[in-house]
Amino acid sequence: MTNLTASEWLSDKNIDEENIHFIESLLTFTSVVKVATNKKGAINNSLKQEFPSKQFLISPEMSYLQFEKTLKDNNISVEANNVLEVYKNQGLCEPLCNEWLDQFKQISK
Amino acid sequence: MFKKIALWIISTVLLISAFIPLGELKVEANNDSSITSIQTDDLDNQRVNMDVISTQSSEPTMGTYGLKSKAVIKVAQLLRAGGDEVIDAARAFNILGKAEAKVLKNNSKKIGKYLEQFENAGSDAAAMIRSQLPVWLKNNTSMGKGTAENIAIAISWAVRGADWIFI
Repeated sequence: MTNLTASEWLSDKNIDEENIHFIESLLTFTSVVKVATNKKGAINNSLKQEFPSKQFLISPEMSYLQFEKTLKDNNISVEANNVLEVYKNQGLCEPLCNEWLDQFKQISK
Repeated sequence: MFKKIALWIISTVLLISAFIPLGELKVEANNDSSITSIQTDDLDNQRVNMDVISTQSSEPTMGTYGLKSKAVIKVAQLLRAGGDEVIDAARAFNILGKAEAKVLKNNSKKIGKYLEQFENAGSDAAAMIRSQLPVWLKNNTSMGKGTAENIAIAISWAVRGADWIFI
């Protein structure tokens, strides 16, 4: 697992390129919205154009459970916590991955 | 005398009958004007509604930098100039950590020059950068593949968000 990049790891789990791109977009643009809450509308509109078939709503309040649900709603069959671990270890959107992984740990207790 | 009365009655009847149609015409004219004013109001409302709709559906992919290829030109330019604005944005929005930011800083001019080939790629530019940049970084720099992937994701993100990140 450690020798693979996050996208290679997802690809190894049979996640296609579009869904990998979608997951990366969820992470990067949720990171933005958590800092710049006023960008919520512009970001969602822009991503809806880029991913017209996907169901999602990026918001500053987005939680681990909503991230997990977004993956399920879009038929992306991979454990949300494992995705976050992989990206966190790679150093992408680390604060967001940590926040959601903390929520996951609380739920799992 | 009878003749005079008969003439007066006939002339009165004629006078009255001559005024009644005028009155009716006036009523009809008033009705027409009210219909016309209602129709005009409707048209005005429709115009207002259409203005609202056309304002709401203004092209969201167009912005300060216009088409996405213009966003590539902007990001490439910033990277060639040292990359501080791109790096600061990626750090401020928690996309990249310190280590990746340092690697991006050290390679920003090289990456900026490489991005020039995507300047005419239009709306596909960000996706092309995301898929091709890691391979190029692997072949042309000493950075690890995970870092290369993070930097490609961050550059692709900067291109997609250039309209509101770099205003």
